[in-house]
Amino acid sequence: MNQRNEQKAQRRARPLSPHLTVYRPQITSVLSITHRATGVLLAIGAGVIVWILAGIAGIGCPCGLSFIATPAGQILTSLWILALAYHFCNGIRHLFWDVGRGFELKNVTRSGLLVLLIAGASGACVVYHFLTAGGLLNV
Amino acid sequence: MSKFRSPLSKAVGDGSAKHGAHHWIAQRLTAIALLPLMAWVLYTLATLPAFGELSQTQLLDAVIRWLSFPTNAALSILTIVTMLYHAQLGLQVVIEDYVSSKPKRITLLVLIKLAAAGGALLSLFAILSI
Repeated sequence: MNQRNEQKAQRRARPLSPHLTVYRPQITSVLSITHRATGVLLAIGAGVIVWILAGIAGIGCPCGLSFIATPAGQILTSLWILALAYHFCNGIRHLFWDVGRGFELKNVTRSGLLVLLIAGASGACVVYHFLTAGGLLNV
Repeated sequence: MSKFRSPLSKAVGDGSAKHGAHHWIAQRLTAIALLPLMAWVLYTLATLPAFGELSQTQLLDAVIRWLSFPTNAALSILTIVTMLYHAQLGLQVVIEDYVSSKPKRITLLVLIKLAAAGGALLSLFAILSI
């Protein structure tokens, strides 16, 4: 009985896969976990979009829509846009891997940097226009 | 290979359910479908007219007017439904990876499936009723 409890405790103390904390961060692993993190963020955003749509159609209050126009709403939407730009570009990178292209370590690093560059630039562009339209950025 | 199969499984002879690749394929297909759809979303966000000064009613009117164009409504429905399906598939993998307690894991998996289906239904109803 005692041995069993010990085994159980041991099992619980083991780290869960995937082991994120035991490796030195590298561009490959950081971009990979960022893909997951942005994915979860975008999923939460999808829930918010449903709530806003329902509010527009008169199910519940239309407060979601007016929240987007507030400074806090504009900042959160901007973060969502940046997450989307990253997940979009890195998703294309993943699709290339799925057909077996670009697996060499040199190319993986290169495409990772390319994703950061394109996602950053296009995301910043959309955010800039969005914040200008919303009035948080006064140009 | 046959060494690993039980006598019953050999006798029934069903083999695998052959659904193993379904999740993987669905995730990729929705990803490809989302490429043009999300590009459209980003384009729409980048070309919004000034909305900061609008009152709540003006804002609501503008969005309702925009959604009453059939193209906008159709693309919105396609986007939100595909997005929720893709999100459910992705969250499923994250939950399967990080939630080790089986009861918790199954509960969460069922909940996100229900949430995605409910969300899709709700947004479909919302957009069509405008």
